[in-house]
Amino acid sequence: MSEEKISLDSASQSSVDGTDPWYRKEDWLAVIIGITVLSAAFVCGWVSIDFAGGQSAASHPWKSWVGKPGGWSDNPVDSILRGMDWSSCWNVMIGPFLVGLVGFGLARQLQGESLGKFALAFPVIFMLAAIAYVMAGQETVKSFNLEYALWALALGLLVSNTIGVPQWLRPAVLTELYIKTGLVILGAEVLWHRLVALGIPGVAVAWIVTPIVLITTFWFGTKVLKLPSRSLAMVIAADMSVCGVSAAIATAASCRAKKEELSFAIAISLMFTVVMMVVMPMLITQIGLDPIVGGAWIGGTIDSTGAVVAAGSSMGAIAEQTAATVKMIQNILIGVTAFGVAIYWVLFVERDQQSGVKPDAREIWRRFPKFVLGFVLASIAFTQLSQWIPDGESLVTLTVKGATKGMRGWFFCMAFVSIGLDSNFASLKRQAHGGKPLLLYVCGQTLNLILTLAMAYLMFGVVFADYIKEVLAP
Amino acid sequence: MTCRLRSHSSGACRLVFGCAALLFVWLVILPRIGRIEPVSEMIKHHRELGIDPSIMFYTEIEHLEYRDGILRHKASLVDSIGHAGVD
Repeated sequence: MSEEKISLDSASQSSVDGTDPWYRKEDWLAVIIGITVLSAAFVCGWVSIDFAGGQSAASHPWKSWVGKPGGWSDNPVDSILRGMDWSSCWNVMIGPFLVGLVGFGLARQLQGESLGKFALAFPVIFMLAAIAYVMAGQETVKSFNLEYALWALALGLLVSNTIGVPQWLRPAVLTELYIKTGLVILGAEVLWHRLVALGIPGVAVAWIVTPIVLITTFWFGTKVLKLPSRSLAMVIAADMSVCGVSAAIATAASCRAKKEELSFAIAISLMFTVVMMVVMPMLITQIGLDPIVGGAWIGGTIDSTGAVVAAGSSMGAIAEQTAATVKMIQNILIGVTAFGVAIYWVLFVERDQQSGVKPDAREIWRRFPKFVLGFVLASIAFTQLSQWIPDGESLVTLTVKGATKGMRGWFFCMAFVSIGLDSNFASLKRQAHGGKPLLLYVCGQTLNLILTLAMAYLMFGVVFADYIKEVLAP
Repeated sequence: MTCRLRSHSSGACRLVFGCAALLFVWLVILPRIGRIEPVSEMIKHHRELGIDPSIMFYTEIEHLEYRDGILRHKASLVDSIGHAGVD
C-alpha cells in the first residue's frame, strides 16, 4: 500500500514503461475511452433528435441505461427498487457497467494485462461503487452534501484495512485510469460560452476572485505554512476556491498529487461545506444582505455545487438562481485550472524537484499529463457543437444530462473505491501534517469569504445592480 | 500458516464489525436524525423543489435549466409550487 501518485509514471499496477508506444499509455487510453464515449453519446442524441422530426427529443436514448441508484430515507431497498420497478433500477447500472467492462478491459489488454482477470475483478469494484451510491442516496446524508466520493473511499478503506485487498481484485483497482477517463468525459460539461451568463459581474466574482484566492492559498501553504507537499497545497487551494470535489479531482490529476492527498483535501472540503451551507444563509438573512448579493456570495464561496443550490434555495428563488449561476461560471474554471496547473507543474515544480534545469519542449511534452488535452479537446468540441449546429444547445444538454454525466459519475465513484482499496489509515493520518492542511483551508476560505463578499457587493449590489435585476427577472 | 489464518480471521471479524457499524448508522441513526424537525424540514424543502444537495457539477442540477443564459426554475415547477421569493 504505497502512497501512489495520480500519475502514469508511478502507477505500479501498470506494466507499461516509458518505452512503450503511446497507445499503451494510461493517459492516451483514458483520452480514447473518454472521446469514444462522448462521440457515441453525441451521435445517439443527434439521431434521436432527427427521429423526433428536428425537435428536441424528450430524453437521450441512453437515459434509461445510464444513471445511479435513487434516494431513500428508511429502507435502502427503495434506492434499488424505485417504486417496485425492478427493470428501471437495474437498467441504469447496465450502461456504465458494460462500458466500463469493455472500455477498461480492452485498455488493460492493450497494456498487456489479462482481460479475463480484469473481467473477474471489475464487477466487485462496480458493486462497491453501487453500494457507495446507495449510501450517498440516504436522504439525511444527501441533504448535508456528503457526496458518494466519501462513501466510496470509506468502503475501499474498510476492505483494505480489514481483510486487505485480495490479489485477484488488483487488476481492476485502476484509480488513474478511472479518474482520467472521467475527467475527459467531464470536459464535455465545461461549456465556455456559459462563462458570460451573468456578464461582467459573474466574471468578476468567479474569474477574478477565484484565481486570486487559488494562487494566494497555494503560496500561503507552501511559503508561510511550509507544507511539505506542494501538491497537497494545490489540491486544497483548488478544492476550496474553485468547485469542491470535481476541482480537487482535476487538479490532483494535473499535479500528480498522492491519492491520500486527494482524499484528505476532499474530506476537509466536505466537512466545511456542511457547516457553510447551513450557516451562510442564516448569516445573510441575519445581516439583511440583499438576496442577489447573498446568492453571489454563496455561489462564490461554498465549495460544492449541490450545497450552493441548497443554501441558495433556502433564501428564495432569486438567490438560488444567482448562486447556482455564479457556481456554474466557477465550474467552467475547472478547465483553465487543470490546464494551468499541469503546465505550471511541468515547467516549474518538477524542474525544481529534479535537476533544476529548465526543460526543453520535448521534455515538457513528455512530462505533460496528456489526458488534460483530451479534457480540453472535449470542452472545446462540445462548446463549438452547442453553438454551431442547429439546436446545438439542446442537443449538448440532452447528451450530457442523459448519458455522459452518469457515466463519469460511475468512473469517479470507482476511482474513489480504488483509492480506498489502495490506502490505509496510517498513510491518511500522515497527511494531517500537524493540522497545517486544515489551517490552510481555514485561512484560504477566510480570504475567499472576504474578497467574494466585497466583489459580490460591489458588482451585484452597486455597479451592476439594475442590470442584474433585469437579467434575473422571471 | 496458523499465524496467517489467525490474522485472516481477525481481519474478517473486523470487516464484519465494520459492516455492522455501517448498517447500524445507515439503517438506524441516519433515519432518526432525518426525523429531527429542522433536518426533516430541510429534507422536505429539498424534496419539494427537486434539489439534490449532493451533486458535484452544475450539469447535474435537474430542477433548474439553462435558459436566457441563466439557470432558471423550470416553469412547471414554479407554477406548481409558487416558490417563495420569486417576486
